[in-house]
Amino acid sequence: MNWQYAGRVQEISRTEPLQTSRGTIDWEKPKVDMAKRGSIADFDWWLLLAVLALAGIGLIEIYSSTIHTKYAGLHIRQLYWVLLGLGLMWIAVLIDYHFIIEHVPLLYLLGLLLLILVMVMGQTNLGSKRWLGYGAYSIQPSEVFKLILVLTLARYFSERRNRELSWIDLFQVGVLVIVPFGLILAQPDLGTALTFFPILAVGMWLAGVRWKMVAIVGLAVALVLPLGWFVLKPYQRDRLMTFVHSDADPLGRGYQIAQSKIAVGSGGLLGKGFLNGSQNRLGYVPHRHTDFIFSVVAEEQGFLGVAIVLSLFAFVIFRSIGHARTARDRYGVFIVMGVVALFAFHVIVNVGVIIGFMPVTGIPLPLVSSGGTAILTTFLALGLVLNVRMRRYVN
Amino acid sequence: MPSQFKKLAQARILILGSVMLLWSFVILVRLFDLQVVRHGEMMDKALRQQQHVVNIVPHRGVIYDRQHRELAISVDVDSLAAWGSQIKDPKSLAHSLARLLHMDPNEIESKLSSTRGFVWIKRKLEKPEADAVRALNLKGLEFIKECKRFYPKRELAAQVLGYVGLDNEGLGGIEHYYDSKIKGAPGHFFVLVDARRQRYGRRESSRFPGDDAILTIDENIQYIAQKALDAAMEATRSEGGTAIVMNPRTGEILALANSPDFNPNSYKATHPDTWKNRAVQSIYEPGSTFKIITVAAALEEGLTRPDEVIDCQMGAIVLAGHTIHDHERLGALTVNQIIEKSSDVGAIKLGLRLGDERLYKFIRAFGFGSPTGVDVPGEARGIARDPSQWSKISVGAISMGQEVGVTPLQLLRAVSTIANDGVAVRPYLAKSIVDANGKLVLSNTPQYEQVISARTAVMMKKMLEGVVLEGTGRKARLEGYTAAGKTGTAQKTDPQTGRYYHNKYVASFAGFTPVNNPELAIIVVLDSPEGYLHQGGQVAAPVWKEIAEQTLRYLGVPPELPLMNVARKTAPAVASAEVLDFESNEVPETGQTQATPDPVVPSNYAVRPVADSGNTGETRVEEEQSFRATANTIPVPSLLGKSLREAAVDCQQVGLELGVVGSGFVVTQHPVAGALVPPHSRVVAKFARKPERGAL
Repeated sequence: MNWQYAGRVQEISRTEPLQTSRGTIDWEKPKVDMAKRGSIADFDWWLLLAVLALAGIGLIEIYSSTIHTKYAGLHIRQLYWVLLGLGLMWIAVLIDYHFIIEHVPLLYLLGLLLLILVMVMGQTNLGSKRWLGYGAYSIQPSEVFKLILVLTLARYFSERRNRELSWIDLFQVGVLVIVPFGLILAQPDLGTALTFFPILAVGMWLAGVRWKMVAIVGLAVALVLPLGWFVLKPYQRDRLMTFVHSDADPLGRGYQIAQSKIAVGSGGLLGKGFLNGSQNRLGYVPHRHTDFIFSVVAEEQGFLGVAIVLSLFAFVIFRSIGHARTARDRYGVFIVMGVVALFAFHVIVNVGVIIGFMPVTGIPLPLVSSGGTAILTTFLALGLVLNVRMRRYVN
Repeated sequence: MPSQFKKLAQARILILGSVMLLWSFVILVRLFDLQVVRHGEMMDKALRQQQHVVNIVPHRGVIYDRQHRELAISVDVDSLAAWGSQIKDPKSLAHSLARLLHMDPNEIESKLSSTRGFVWIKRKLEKPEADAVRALNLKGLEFIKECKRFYPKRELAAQVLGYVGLDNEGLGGIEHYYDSKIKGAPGHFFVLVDARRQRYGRRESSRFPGDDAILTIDENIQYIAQKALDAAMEATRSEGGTAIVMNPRTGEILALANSPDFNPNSYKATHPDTWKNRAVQSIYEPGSTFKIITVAAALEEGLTRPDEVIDCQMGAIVLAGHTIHDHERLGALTVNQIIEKSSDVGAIKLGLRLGDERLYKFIRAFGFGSPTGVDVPGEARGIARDPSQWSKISVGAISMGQEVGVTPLQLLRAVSTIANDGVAVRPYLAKSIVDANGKLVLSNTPQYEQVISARTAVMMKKMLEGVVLEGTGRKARLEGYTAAGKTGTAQKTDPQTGRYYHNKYVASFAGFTPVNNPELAIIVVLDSPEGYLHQGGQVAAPVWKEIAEQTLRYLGVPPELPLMNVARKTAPAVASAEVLDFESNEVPETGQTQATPDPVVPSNYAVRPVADSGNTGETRVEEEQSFRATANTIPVPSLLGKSLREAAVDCQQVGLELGVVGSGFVVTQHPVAGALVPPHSRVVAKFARKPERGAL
């Protein structure tokens, strides 16, 4: 019997038990294997290829944006992170996602513990405590928690009994989100904390939120948000104000966005060529190997280059959405869509900042930006997508 | 998946997907806008902040005289610049630099602290200054090679050459007129500046040197003219002066001197008035020199003949109620004498015969009232009013050179027209312009325009020669050469009141030499000479003589006359064979007047271009023989160095008469040896004890 999750994983138990019309004994055994390991034939090699292409582009652009700076050689470290990420991804593919879902409470508590540890003994860098560990070997628990939240909400929404989302559901989910959100905001790391919202929103959306509830929550947020102004740190207020009046002070707070736009615009149709982006090389683009790496791509590879990069991202996102639609069960749908929400949010916000659509939030470009924990988390997340895809057939 | 959830989830997933698709599209549009539509604008912004562009002035082309002697060159100099961001302590640096550069320390300090980028501290340093600063070996300073214009001959031809500004831009004269050719293409150096305003690296784009200009000016003739003019300026204490030497056959200006002058290496040290090229920019009333136009017009229109006798009414004529007094009480004069003695009444009478319209027509035909087209910036057109604006006495006033404004060059061009048998030439200063590879970029060639008939011109030549021989221009008589010209003494007008000064004159003399084969047309204008002697014939003619004699000698033009007291009959009247035929048909009666020399010269009278005479013995012989075969002429033997007896024998043998002047050995002869003359012609030889310097 493969119903090892019976009673706990309720969606599966409610699926049609045995479809014996197509045979009885002969295919019961392979069905067990498929459920546990999936089929290699169902592995989405194209998705993996797109992900590797993006990571490869990331390595090249990190090389270009760090050469002759104190970060020179960072691309090598990034390569190690990518290889490590691939390994973790492979593990994430092999373990049946139902097993992972089963241990969500444990993961959630572990995540909270790490966040509290950061509060207590984290490294302080650029004015915020975000890292655990030492120097290059440190991890960023808030990044990991994004993934934990995806899984947590996937389980919560999947196991909910009512057809529509009730206020009680909203409250319970709210508590699950608000605790880590608060901890991360306190680091302070508004950018990462904000990524919780798309995960929550997409989850609620698919769980069947009513329009009335959307309206009421929206109104409440609109009322509370001005209060939030007082919660924000001064630099966060600056960023918001800068966005609202982006041209007021191009050499002051609007500098980063202004320089990023110049880099993007001066790239032109075909770009200035690899290692030839002057905005990049002369240091006008801020954080150019991390949050602003997309402007380096835009400057050196031009519109054509960014169109290719964006196409790859679109491929990953829409292919994942396709996998959500063919997922075997609710868990699969929520996991994949959670990952899609997280991934797409990063891409849209990161690119949006670079082209001047949004205030500077400090959100990296997935797979491309330099950064260890973010790379690992992204690979793990996409591993979950591949996991769900590989196990899409119930029987 | 349960179908109920499945249905809802599928729909909502699709909606989510559509929203994301929309977003991708919006982002793509925005990227297209930034990268393709607004690419130029963004690129500008990027370059503006990333690059400092410093222009590097290229070498200006060399300006040569006609013999390829350097008149203006470019020399490398160091300029001192600094990078604001690299100067740690502007105050102390400014202090140490100020002493070496003779500058105000505060000025340097404010320059250094005004920017974090590139700033010039001092441009075009003197060599010792540069060496001293270099010895300090200070950080953040940079020497940039620039070039500086240098005029090795200093004041020589200063107004012709012009001068250049700090960025080597031509500001006057040839430097300005041909600036686009001479200046070359500037180079740039681009310094990359990073986000912290630190210099990052630099690229240099090469500069291209300008083209070289070869002028028609001859340095030595220029020097001759300048020196003679300066001496006259000093002697007469004139306010200003101009002397121009031109080749009347081509329009090439051989010398153009103005006084006072300036040193173009430090032009700012002198008053801007001295930078002015008087020869083309100052307008004056020409006075009597303008009678050339009146008489030439009357001759051309057939209204008079050189030997016609006109009553000059003892120096007074009433014109529209105004009595005009001549400078001398003259009675009946031939037209020749009117020019020789510069009779105002005579000129007025001829002007009246012409009438307003015809006089105006010839004024314009001789080029007055319009620029000559010389390659000099800011050339004045002069003043030649339309007859509709003339008063009743204007025709008279203009006939004697009042109520018109001319530039010295315009008048010289008119005189050249006479010298050149009625053909006007366009004066020019630049023979050619060649680029750095020696390729010809531009070349000026003579431009001709027939203004009056050759016949009229020849008659005018004779009259103007009379001025020098017997008239007001006797002080312009040359040693060994025939000359023709006209004096001018015009009262200056007070610019405030518009009335004539009683004691300020413009004295001028314009003429050409030798008469028959003019090599040079020269004008000398002195503005407000002081003292009793202020007339053109008194003050300008001697300067003219000096310039003409020295220049002819310098050019190696063989002397044609033994002495000035030889009858002017000795000057053959015509310049070219075509004219001769024309001449002999048209003017048969000119020989009647005793004062006029015989204008009819046999058509086979050899007139050689003078420039050839120095060096081409062999070709000359060939010419002689061919002439001898076809016509009944005799080649003149060379008498030079011979005694009286030997010369007489030589002449007798070939059938020529010998005219003797002086005693000793022959130093000059006329016609020159090799000339073909009719039998029984007279050969005048000048004898001297010692060969005269310059005569041989």
